[in-house]
Formats: sequence, structure tokens, C-alpha cells
Amino acid sequence: MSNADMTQAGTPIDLSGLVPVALDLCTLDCVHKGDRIEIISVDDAHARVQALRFGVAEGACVECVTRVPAGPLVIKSGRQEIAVGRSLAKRINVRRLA
Amino acid sequence: MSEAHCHSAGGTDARPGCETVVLVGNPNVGKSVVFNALTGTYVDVSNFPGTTVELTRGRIGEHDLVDTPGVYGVSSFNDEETVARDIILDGDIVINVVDAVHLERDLFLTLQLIDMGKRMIVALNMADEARKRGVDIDRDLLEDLLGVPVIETVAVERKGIDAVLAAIPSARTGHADVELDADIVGLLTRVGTRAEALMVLEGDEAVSGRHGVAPGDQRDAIYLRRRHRVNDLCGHVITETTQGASFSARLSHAMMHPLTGVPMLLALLAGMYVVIGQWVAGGVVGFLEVNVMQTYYIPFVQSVVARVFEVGSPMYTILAGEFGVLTMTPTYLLAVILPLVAAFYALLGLLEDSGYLPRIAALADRSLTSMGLNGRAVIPLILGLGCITMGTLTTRILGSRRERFIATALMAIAVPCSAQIAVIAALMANTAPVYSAAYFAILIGIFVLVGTVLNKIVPGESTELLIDLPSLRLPRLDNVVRKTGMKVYHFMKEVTVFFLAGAAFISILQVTGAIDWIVQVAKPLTVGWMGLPPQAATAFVMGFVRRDFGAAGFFKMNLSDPQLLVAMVTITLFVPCIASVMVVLKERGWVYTLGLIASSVTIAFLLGGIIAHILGIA
Repeated sequence: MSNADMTQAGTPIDLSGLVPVALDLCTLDCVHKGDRIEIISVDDAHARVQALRFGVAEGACVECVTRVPAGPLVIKSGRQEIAVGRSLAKRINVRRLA
Repeated sequence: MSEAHCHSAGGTDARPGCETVVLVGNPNVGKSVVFNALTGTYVDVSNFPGTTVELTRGRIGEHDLVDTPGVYGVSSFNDEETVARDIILDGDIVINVVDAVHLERDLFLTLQLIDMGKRMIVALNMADEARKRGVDIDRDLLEDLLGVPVIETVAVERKGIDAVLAAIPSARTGHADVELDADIVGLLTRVGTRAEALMVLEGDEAVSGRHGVAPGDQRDAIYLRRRHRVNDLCGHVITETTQGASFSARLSHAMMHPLTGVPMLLALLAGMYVVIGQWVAGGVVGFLEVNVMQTYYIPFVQSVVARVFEVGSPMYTILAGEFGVLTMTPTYLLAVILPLVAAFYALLGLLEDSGYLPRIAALADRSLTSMGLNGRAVIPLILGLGCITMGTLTTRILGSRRERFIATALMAIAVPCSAQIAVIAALMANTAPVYSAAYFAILIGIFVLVGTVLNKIVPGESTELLIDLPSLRLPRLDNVVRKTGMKVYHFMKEVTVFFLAGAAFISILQVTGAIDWIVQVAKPLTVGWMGLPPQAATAFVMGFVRRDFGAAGFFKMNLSDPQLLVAMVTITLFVPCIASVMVVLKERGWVYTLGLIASSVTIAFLLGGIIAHILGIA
């Protein structure tokens, strides 16, 4: 998609100077099995602390190893695996890594 | 500041002049095995709340050794952590047991202990297993980086235990987070020790309150730095020679995915039913109850009691009658409950030690969330299939009052216990298969219905699943046997008094003639509404004493297939046995217990009558 397409409506904005960055942000619940992700923030004080103890810090790169349909997600950091309930996963912001 | 106070405040019972050594570690790292190996005595430790939150003290030479519950960190998120925190704060020397297989997880606690300024030793346990999995840990480097002695152990084989003992005098403070120093020094004038100062900085309200200072707000920052230090340490000391077994990764995934996980779970439950329902309940219990207790023990007790009280007198009935305190209670406790509970805890221990249990929790999480629970609730629910009393006590592991409320009610209403399942299976075996199928369908339906309704009406918030999935491995039998022994001991200790009280209560009903009165009064309900013979009322009263007695009471009544279905559904949904009612009372209080009894009786009879009317027998 070229930058020109984005200026159709209203005043033209010059975006030509910007470098496109793949900021693939989402919450943990929309991650697929096998995806590598970076944990950006955990929106729950207790879960944040517990995750830190288990080995997953904000900023950590982890892999989604299992996605139980409509159920918990399992993320892996090093050899440590953690199961995260689906609604808690919705409150964990992540960035997909290529 | 690393000077240790050898004679400072120890635990309350510490011997004067003796230093207290505290054993600290994450759950399931083999801490209890290390404790036993160090003290050489059998002590009571386990990872279930209520049983662990008891101080276990032993002696090693000059020192007192105190065990703590398994925790992932020192703070006050739950009862275990509070207890562990206080023991650690009071202790002089810490032996920190870490699982070499899960170093990234376990070193977090280690660094927190180091930051607390405790003199300590690290026991690098299960070093053999880590090596087998291609994880090599540079012990020397780890020791240098932590600044405290690190000793490799294989506690189950007693390897390295002597080295740990020998290292106690050289326990020392390690390399703490230097960024903490300024704040800690500032607090030291107001707070007794560095350890307490750290707790205050990490926002621990209880410790702050004790010293009259405001809890700090730096927990997130301190934890994050600590996590980075752990990751950094692991990067230096761990060499992975093989990339983890892909088979166990696939198995782990299969266990949690519904398509494969549900059949595996069903196979497991079927296997458990064969072992517990048939071998133990049928074989072992049958033998002990009939061939030992009823043949030798009961006649003996009855003859002794008869020398003091006349046969048939109220006191004789209470002590040695059908439900006697000296006859039924020991029979039930030793011949029925003990083998069943031991078998259940042993199977659960196998599941726990193999790492399967948390994966069942992940599999079941989705279904349980719709009932206001999370996956962790499978543990009490599975135990409830063994014995409702055991399951009810285990609801303590759930994260909120709301979850404990729902799980207790579900078990009391819709989960049959193993003793009852055995009798029901025997009774239903003679009916057309459609009735057995209907029985299970109705129970599952009620389970889901009760759970869904409670989820809607019980106030509060349920906690969400966030659990550590340990790697899968073949269970270590010695470990399982040891843990089972401890859990069974604690369970029996806790429930004996309730069984005694229950037996006395029912005997009094019998002595006063209340049972016959109940049979008469209940006629419109039993005969009129549910189409059962009038004696069914006795079965329900007996079902209150022992759930399987209740079901067994129907053996002699020559019921038709539809009547059996009505009777079995009603007796299952009917109030749980008196021992579990007593435990519910203790755990949840009067109001809850009365409400539970009222609703389970209502649901049981209402549904029993409806089925009877549908089948045209009433």
C-alpha cells in the first residue's frame, strides 16, 4: 500500500518521510500457536507480579506453544511454560514478532 | 551490614542460643525430601494449604530446622506466603532448595532471599534430572555470581545432603541488588532488619504495619530488575546441549487440546474408577470391612461394651450400636475411608508429580470459567470424586471466597463420592443401559446447571488462571509414596472428630425413635411424590451418615429399573454425608451450610419426583 492512498479524504498529508514499521500490536488472546511475541504490558497487578516470578517480565520475548480453543494460552519463556486464562490474556498487551 | 545476629529472634519455640535454619523453595522442588534427609526423621510437610501452614521443626546438630510452605516468592499473596515470609524473617540461615530443571523460575526467589540479606546456602536439587534433559549448569559460576555456597543435590537419593550439612557454617549473604542499598539504609533506622526493610520497599502491608511505616510503591520496579538479573544469571550459567524433547512438547500440547485431551482425561478417569471403585472400594474395602472389622473387631467391642451397659440400652446403642461411636466410626474410618483416601491421594500424587495435573487444569479451564471457577478447581473436584470431605478441604487452594463457595456447593450437590459410585455402579449394573446413561446425563446436567446459576448469583469476582506448567516427567515413586503418606495422615487427623460427631448424632436419632418417625412423616414424599417404598426414608437418613450406606439401603428393596434411577439420582443429589457437612460447616460457616442443605434436599426431591412422574411410576 502506497502512502498516497491514505490521503484520499480531506487535506492531503505528506507521509512520504515516514518509514513503515510493522507495529503488530494486539492482546495475548489473539496470538496463534507458534507465534513469537513480546510482552508489552500486563494490565493486572497480581498477574504481573506472578508472571515475573514465573519468568515472564514485561518486555520479555516468549513463544505461544498451545492455544486451547476458547481456553487458556500457553506461553513459553526459556524452558518455563505458563498457562494464562483467556480473559486474563485479553488484558495482556503484546507485539507480534516476525 | 552482612554481620549476622546469631542469637537474635528465632522462631517462638527456638532453643535459646540456637540458630534457626529455614528451608525455603518453590512448590514441588523436593523441599520435603530435603527436610527429611537433613533431619533424618519423618515429618509432616505437604503442599496443600491448611496442612502446610503448620510449622514443621526438626533438628540438625546445633541448629533448629524449620520448613516453610512452597512459595514462588516472599510476600503476602496468600496464607502460605504469609507464613513462609514470617518464618524467613525470623530465621537466621536459609537453605534455599532450587529445582535445577526450572532455574529461571526458582532463582527469582533465591535473589529475593539474597536481597533480604539472609545468610544462605543454595541446594541445587534434581541436578541429575537437569543433566539428563541436556541442561548443564555451571555450579562454580553460579556460586560466584550469587555469592553464596551452591551445592548440587539429588535429595531422593540422599546425594549432596552431607555436603549441605557441612556447608551450614559457611552460609553467607550474597550479592544483593545494589540499587536497593540507599533505600534500605534509609529504612534501617525505623525497621529492624534488612529483610524487613526489603519487604517494606516491596509494599508488604503487614510488615510495614508492624513498624508503623508506609508500604513502599516500588514493587514492580524491584521485581522487574530482579527478573532481569535472573535472566542474566541463567544466560551465563546454563548451557543447553539438546533442545528439549519434542515428544514431551507434543504430549503436553495433546493433553491440553480438547480433541485429544478430553479422551485422555476420560481414559484417566476410567482408569481411576477401575483402581479406586473396583480394586480398592470393592476389593480392599470389602475385605477390611467384612472380613476384618465385622468379623473380629465389632463383636469384640460389642462384648466389651455389653459388660458395662445393657444390650439395647441407649448408651449401648450410642457406643456399640449400628451407628456406634466405637463400632461404625472405626470401621468407617479405617476400613473404608483410609484405603479410599490413600488410593486417591496416591493417584493424585502421580498426576501431580508427572506434571499432568496442571495440564488438566488448563484443559478444563474453559468449561469451569462458565461456572465461575478456573482450571485450578479440577483439583478439589477430582478429589471430591474420592471423598467430598477431602475435596471440600482442598477448596482452600482456590483463589477467592467466591470460587470456594461455588466449588463446595457443586461437590456437595452433584458429585458422588467413590464409595457411593461403587455401590451405585453395582446397583445400576443390573438395569438396562439406558438408565445408567440417564443417570450420568442427569448428574452432568445438574452439575453444569448449578455451576452456571451460582456463577450468576454469587457476588464477587473469580480469579483467573495463571499457572506454572512444570515439564512432564515419569513420576518418582518414592516421592509419591512419601507425599501420599503425609497427606493421608493430615486428612485422617482432620476428619476423625467429624466422623465421631456424626455417628453420635445418628445414634441419638435412633435411640430417641426419631428415625421411625421420619419414615412415617416422609411417606407423602417417598411414596406419593417419588413412587418409592416407604423404607426409602431410612436410606436417605443413612445416606446422611454415609453416602454409600444410603445407596446400599436400596439393595434390599427390589426396586424396578425406573425406581432405581429415581432413587440413585435422589440419593446422589441429596445432602452429602455428615462428615462433609461438618467440614463444610467448619470451612464455610452456618448460613452457608444451612443454605446448602436446604438447596440440595430441594433439588434432590424435586428432580426425583419429576423423573418419577416422567417415567410414570408416581
